[in-house]
Amino acid sequence: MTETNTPLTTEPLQKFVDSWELAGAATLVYRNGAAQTVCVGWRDIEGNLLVERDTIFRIASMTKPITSVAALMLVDEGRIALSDPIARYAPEFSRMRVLRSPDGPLEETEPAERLLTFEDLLTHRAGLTYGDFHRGPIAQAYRDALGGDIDSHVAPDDWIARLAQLPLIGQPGAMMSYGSATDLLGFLIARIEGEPLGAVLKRRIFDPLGMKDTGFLVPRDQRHRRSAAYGFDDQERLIRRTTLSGGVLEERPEGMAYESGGAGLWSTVDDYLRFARVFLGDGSVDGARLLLPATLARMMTNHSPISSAPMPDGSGTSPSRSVEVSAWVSRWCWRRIGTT
Amino acid sequence: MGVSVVLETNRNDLMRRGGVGTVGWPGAYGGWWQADPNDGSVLIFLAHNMVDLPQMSKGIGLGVWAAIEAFQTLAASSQS
Repeated sequence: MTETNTPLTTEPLQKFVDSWELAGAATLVYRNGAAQTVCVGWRDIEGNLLVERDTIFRIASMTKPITSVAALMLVDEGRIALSDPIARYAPEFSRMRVLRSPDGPLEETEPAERLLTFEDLLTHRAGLTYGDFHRGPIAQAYRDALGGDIDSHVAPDDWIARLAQLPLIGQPGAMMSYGSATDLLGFLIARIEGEPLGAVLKRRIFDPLGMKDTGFLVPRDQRHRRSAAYGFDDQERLIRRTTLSGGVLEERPEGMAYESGGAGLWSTVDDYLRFARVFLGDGSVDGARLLLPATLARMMTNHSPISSAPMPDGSGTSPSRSVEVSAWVSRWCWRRIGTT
Repeated sequence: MGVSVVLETNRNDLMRRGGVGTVGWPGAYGGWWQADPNDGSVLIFLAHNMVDLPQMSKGIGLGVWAAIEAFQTLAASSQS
């Protein structure tokens, strides 16, 4: 293509840094086959280091689409089917209980009406959740059993067993509930492949696409490129944070076996662009194929009813013709922003 | 599966501004991306804005989401 892109200015983003609403950000716009980046603020305020194009961030739930693609690669190869019960690979999930009410007593359960499938995990309809979304006893039960969401001291096999011991918050397939489903999916991929998730993602996705700065642990010689972790105190002053909700943020302990396929990856804007470009074409980027065209099309097709996506706190189930999988993610973020 | 898909564009919704078929996903630390196969564009925003839900419910740390909106507007201005 010969179209040229209008250069981007930094001012619209810089003002959030100037008002201390944001420590810094790296952004990228890819259009007409060319990428432009705008970086503002600091990756380390105390050290006076700026965010640069190659700054490495924890991408949190932006990990989920990557883990999901890895699962669909196994589907393409006929290793698993979306309708397969996950109990085939994790017998821990052979007999699940379901809470009568998501925030009700842990003892008040009924049997799951059917086994969980890979499709339930991929569409967030498995009845799994994040403890932080709840006010009832399930919140503490998740925390006690699983540790942190992003880094945890619980090793994969123990984590699978502990999650399976917790009751589901809804019947399999019955409702959308955002949470540990993609972490579980990641550990199932690792079991099926016989190697840690990080190694699977590197072999299947990061190496073929050239995502050299993406992984669960930043190599020692690249750590100077990481963004430090920033948040706010209760007076809304920007501060450095070392932990959040009990989880480790900055310095993941080396040798930690737990790898969160739901939230654990570090990456850069250029690396994530390589991944995102999978969705612009037919499942391949620059000759590296991840998914069959039909599988990519299936991934990019709505699989959820276009109503009844509950908010994490159980409120607000107005019909929505928005986004699959995550009508509530959208509304959740929207509620956080307020209205324009 | 694994991503959100825009079924109907809605300018008022941060996650639904791309064309029909646009995929994407947000991250809890103020990350967001979308890929729009209609015009072959990708937008990516990465930040470290570590805020927990109790803080968010008090309105603390929401500036990053306004910054993502500003980024979307900025990105739209790059179209020639």
